[in-house]
Amino acid sequence: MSLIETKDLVYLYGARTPFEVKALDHIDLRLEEGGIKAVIGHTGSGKSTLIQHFNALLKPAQGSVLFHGENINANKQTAYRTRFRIGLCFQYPEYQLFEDTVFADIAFGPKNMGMSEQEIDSAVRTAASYVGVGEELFDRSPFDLSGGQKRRIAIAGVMAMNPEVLILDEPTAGLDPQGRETILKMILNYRGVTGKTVILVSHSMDDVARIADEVIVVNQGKIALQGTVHEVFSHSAELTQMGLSVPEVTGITDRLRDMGCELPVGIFTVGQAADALADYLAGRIRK
Amino acid sequence: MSENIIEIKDVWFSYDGDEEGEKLPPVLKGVTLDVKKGEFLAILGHNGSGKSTLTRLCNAMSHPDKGTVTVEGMDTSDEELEYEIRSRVGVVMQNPDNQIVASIVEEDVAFGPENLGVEPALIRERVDDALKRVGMYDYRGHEPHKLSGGQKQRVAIAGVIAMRTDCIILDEPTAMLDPIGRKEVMDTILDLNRRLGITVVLITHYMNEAVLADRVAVMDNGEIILCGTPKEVFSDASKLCRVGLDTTQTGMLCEELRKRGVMLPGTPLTPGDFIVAFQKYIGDRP
Amino acid sequence: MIKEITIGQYFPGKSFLHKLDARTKLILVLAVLIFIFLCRNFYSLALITVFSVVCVAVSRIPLRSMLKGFRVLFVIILLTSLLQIFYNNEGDALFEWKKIHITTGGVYTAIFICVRIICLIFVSSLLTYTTSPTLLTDGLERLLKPLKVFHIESHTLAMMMTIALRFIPTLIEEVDHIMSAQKARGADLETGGLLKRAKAMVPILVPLFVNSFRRAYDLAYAMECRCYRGGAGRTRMRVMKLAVRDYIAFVICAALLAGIILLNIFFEAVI
Repeated sequence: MSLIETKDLVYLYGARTPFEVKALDHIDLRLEEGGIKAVIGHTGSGKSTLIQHFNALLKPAQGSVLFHGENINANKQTAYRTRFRIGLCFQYPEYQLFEDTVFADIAFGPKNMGMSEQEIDSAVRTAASYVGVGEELFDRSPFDLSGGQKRRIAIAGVMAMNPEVLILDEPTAGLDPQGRETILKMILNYRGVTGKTVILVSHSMDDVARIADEVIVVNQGKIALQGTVHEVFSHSAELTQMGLSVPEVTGITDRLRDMGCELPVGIFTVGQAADALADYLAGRIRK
Repeated sequence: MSENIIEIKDVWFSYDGDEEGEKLPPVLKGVTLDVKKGEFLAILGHNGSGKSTLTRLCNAMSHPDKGTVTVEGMDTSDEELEYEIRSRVGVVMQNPDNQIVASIVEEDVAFGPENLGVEPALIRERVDDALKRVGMYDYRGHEPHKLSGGQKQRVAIAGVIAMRTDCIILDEPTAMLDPIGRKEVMDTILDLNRRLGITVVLITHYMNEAVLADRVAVMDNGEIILCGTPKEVFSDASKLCRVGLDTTQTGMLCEELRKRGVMLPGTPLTPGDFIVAFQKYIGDRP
Repeated sequence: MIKEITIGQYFPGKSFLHKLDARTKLILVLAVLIFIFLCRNFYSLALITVFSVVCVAVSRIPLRSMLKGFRVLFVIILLTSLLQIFYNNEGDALFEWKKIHITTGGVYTAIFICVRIICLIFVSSLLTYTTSPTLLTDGLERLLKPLKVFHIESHTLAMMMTIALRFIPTLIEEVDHIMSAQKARGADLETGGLLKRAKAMVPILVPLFVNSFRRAYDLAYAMECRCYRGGAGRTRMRVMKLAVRDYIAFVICAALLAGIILLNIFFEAVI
């Protein structure tokens, strides 16, 4: 049984108006448990709409979403409970902070779940440790902190619900290289410590190349590709066509290959590219 | 008239604290930087390195505590010149949503020229011209909130072009955009600089944007630690590394190849340059 | 869901009414609203009704979508008119039963109220239906310029309207986004009593206000960067010029006024 499965999932924007758009077009998708999965696609491809179906924030116009084989929209209760089991952290989450203190903001989700005072306390502390927020910040107002800190606190707010699956929508958007690095390391750490499934929505192919195990490419409301990072990046020409930018080194090796150099496909890191190019040059000399 | 459009001389700046008379620690510590007429200058640095403060000083929104900033020979501390200075130096900000004033694209582009008191017929002409320059003419009657991020930024750029400023400062214009939007905006910026000869100052933390500039200045902790052509700046890997910046992926690839005994000619930093260098390398060893 | 709310609806089109200058429309709508209350008998009332219907027809705005927006209003109008029938006891008695007296005076007042308000709604909503918000703001700014004598800056008012119009869709989108985000953290916005629901709004409203202030600060900065310094010395790209059709519209309305006055004189007033 898959962890999350969508069956013939259809979602319409502006349903029953002349401007009706099929945001999701008959999607059949299976996601197995474990690992970091990246959902990629350009703005408007339907990737954000898709993940909002995973935790029942959006209801499908047609088809169903199964979690552990159970329909999450079977009734209101199941749908509501699914939000805690599949934690979704939206884009620019720092703009959704609202409590007086960092602690209270992280505790919002656990409180809504009906945890006891003690459970909340431990959930908040654990989540804060995942994102590297020290206890000395707990009594501070989240609005006084730096942008990067705010974002990590907002992410902790979702982690504190102790979800089985953590979905992060563009967690590195708008951050500088240091900030991006911190978030990526934090995700890897969370994954390592908890062993839970993480779904990462991104249009940064460099981030995806760095940390993802599996990649799902969404284009025009359909699943265009699904596979390991290596498999997906082997289709770099198609990715470019879908408006996704492949890592710089992938672009370079692709162009050299088009010019007649015999290089393998599916190169997406600097190390791989350097190895392939060095091998190619060595091979030429041998010939 | 000097060839510099903006001259920043030994500038110190700190923001006011919450309490009366309180000064926060300085964000700029003795910055000296010239922007040459017609050049494309990139300013690279982390959030909080003082990059954005520099923008505020260049268009007289803030005044230095010490040192001077002059725009085309006008001292920004002279309050009477503020308006004149802002009409010469246009600014595009990071968040495309927060800088568009009107609810129709062409009206927004007209906002600047209207403030400058330009004749109506001339505004029309400039607005149409500016929108064509950024490739948004077909969207002139659209509502800005329905456009993509890249399109909104291009409208904001058109708004500055229509003011006919000599210099345009872009403060992380691509930070909130997706790859398509980023490319649209970068192409537009390059086009403005190369074809219209507008001086461009691009504040960014993307290396692959900075390498496209004529000159790169690296800021860290309120100081300019490196300044020169992209090649000069990115070859100083150790200094870059110290402030947590890296060279471009292409630059890293060259470095990795060097470790494997492959020395490419020159120091290619962009994919295009790399291909040329690689071919030359092969050509030299048939 | 919240995105479906449309404020200051405008139906783009190319009809005679669409093409009229915004200032003409503002003045004439105001005039016609006054005319509606000048009608003293059924003849003049009929004239203004016919005029309103013709205007709606000329605007070529689908009647169905117009009526849809008014559904709730019609119920209210009907109720107020009915109340008039029972409370007004002037004129000849038509029907009497126990304490209920229905008189001609009551019925006439009810009809007048009903017709007047409906005409009023139609005519005034035609203004927003056929004029884009930007043009409307522009027209208002220019019409209110004489208020300078009273130290009221029409430019400032117009700029506030412009910015409000620009940011309403952005803020609606933002509310939608924040709501989804808080729902994902288990916020319950749909159940519970009034107090609980009001409390549930805090996680939505606090970020909304915080973000709005940030936007306002950014926008003010952007406006200053673009040399904004109030209305002084400012020109406009759009030149508003009255065309022949505007004069025609004025003449038609003058004729309407004359018609109403004549009908009022020749026939007995019923109200």
